[in-house]
Amino acid sequence: MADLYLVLPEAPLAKGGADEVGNKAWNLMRLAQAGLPVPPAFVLPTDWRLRKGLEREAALRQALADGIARLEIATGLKFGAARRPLLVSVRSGAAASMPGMMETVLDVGLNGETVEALISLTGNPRLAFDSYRRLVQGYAEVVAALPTAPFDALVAAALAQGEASSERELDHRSLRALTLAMLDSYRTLAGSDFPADPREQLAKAAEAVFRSWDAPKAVSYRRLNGLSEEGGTAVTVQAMVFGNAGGASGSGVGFTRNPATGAREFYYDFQFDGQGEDVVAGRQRLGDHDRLRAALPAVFARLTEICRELEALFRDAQDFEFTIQSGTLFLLQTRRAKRTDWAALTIAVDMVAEGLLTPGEALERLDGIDLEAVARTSFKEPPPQPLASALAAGVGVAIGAIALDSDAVKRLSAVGEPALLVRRDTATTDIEGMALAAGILTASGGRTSHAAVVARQLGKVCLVACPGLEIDLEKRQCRIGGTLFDEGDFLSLDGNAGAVYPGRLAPLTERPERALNAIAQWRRVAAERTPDAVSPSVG
Amino acid sequence: LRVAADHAGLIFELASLAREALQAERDGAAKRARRARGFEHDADSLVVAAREAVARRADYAVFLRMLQTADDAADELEDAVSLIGIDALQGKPLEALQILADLLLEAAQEWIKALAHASQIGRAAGDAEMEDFLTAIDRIGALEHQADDAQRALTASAVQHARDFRQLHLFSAIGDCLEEAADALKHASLILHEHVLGDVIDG
Repeated sequence: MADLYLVLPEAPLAKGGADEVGNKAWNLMRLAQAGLPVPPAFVLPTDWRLRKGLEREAALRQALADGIARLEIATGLKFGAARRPLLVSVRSGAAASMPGMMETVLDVGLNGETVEALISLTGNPRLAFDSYRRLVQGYAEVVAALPTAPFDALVAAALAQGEASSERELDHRSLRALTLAMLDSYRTLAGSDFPADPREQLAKAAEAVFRSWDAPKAVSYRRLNGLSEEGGTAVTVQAMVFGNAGGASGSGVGFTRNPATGAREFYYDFQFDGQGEDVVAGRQRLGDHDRLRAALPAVFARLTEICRELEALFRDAQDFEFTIQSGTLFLLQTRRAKRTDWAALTIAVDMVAEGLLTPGEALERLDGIDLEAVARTSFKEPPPQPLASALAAGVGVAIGAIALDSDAVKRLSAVGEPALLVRRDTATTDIEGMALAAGILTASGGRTSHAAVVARQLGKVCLVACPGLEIDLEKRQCRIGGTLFDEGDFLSLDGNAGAVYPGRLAPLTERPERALNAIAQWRRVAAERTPDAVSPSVG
Repeated sequence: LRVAADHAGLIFELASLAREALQAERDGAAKRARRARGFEHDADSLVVAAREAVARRADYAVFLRMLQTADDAADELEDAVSLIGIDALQGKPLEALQILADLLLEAAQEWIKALAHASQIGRAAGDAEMEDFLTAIDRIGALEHQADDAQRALTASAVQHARDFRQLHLFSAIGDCLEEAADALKHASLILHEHVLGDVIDG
């Protein structure tokens, strides 16, 4: 196998496909070849994880150096330089998508000297120090495996001192002070200085991302989703583009179709002046959904075109991450959109009608879905007055007892009580609780955050960004829309309308009749042509 | 130049705030105005510190002149943020005003670049830093011209489309502030340009 592959418009595709370079890099290669805007990158194939021996480390460093040299040519920037510095992200990517379960380190290449060079290059001291503190924080967590709480506490203190409601409101002086405090904290916790050498940062980050394949949450995810333990993750090293460059910059996640209902619409979350992790990590309220179209109409129009281009290229609904840097759009990744079974049926039927798929291909896509079980639930009209209206990230309704963490979900489930996981935000480490819960309600995050993606895939009702949801873990209570609840009290969640109700409401069930009729028709036609052609597991 | 860079950082924060204020909901207006006052106050403090430094070393006089000129931009931007919060600006003139605010933010960023590159000239860096410096200075001049044009477009749009006289006045006053700020940055950049070419290179 090759030591690395380039992700550039003129570069050849990896011979081994997604198995060799991971799904993320494979798709990036295809995007680059199709002329879509992808930042230059290179990928270290999955087999690096299995390489052993003394010479491995030297070979890895050489491969990184070779790749960086190509990125320097492609970008005109220089890694570790005091003028026009190149920064890179180091991302995981396995053959099968595992959203949020493995690690990424952003802004690799920054130190005391290059941060000043980044200010000279961009004229944006806030971007420079925000990037630097993200690197220190991310590196501490992912590479040095330091506890996250001390760093989160520093962020909280900076927010309090700056009277800011989020990191985006911190000015460059606060961010500079926060960075210095994080460097101090790193030194105290790690017992050594944060590595200033960009090449050292890169090598250590790449190793940590390779290791993240074996992290407990990644292992759990593969077990829950029946994914193979064979293979591993590839590592993609990509030139950074900055969603936190201020002004006309931001990061978003988009779906080419609604992953909950399957409707043909651009479904997205966007955050001005933020990096991708702000959107996908689900830790922040995302408030710029409507502002994108108004503030950057040309970019929005291009995004809607890209939805169709992606579907034409990959012949399936896609879930993609994008960054806008000072008005310029970049695609950071695309993958097959995870969707509810209901959405899968709708998308298959619509794509056949649009000529993107043949009925036979659509039937193959639906293989494994129990059509008899596909249904969505709703509450009887008219519903009572809701406690709050949140963002709906999955269809259907759920009724259950409030559980304020995964352990509470497990306790309730063990005695046969349906549970609703109610959290400020869900981390990917909550996956076991999410799998057992009947529904999920969070105070922060967006419809495309990792937790929402995973919830949809698990077929869970999921409501995010619930206003007025406050949680007191010490008292095991939560407050929603001014009403106080104890853990164990019942709520009803409406994943169709985004509403939260007190108590237990009765559910109604609806079936996807239009899609089922179309599928029955395809099967009839297929059976008439070749009686054995239709998979028996469909229907 | 370190003090000037810190001061430029505050101008950048003010320009960012003005731009954000035009895009955001009005409910944060009081907080934005308070933050703008804080930035402007800190910028003033840096000018005072520079004045005291000049009292000790007369050869710093050029920096004081440059800082005082740039500080006019900080004052104008603070006024702009305050005015933007008075009423919910609406309609076509708002788009013209947003274009002007974008130009100001870019000019503030170019001013930071110019100062950063200037601090490297005369040290180990070679022609590249000088080229970067001159590019930033040229860009500030070009942005000032564009800001002039944008202000004229804003005036025309406001006269035609403003909802009422209150909005007409606000569009006009905010546009004046932003244009004055662009002008101040250009003048400050010319002082820096003269200093770098005259005192640093020739000296």
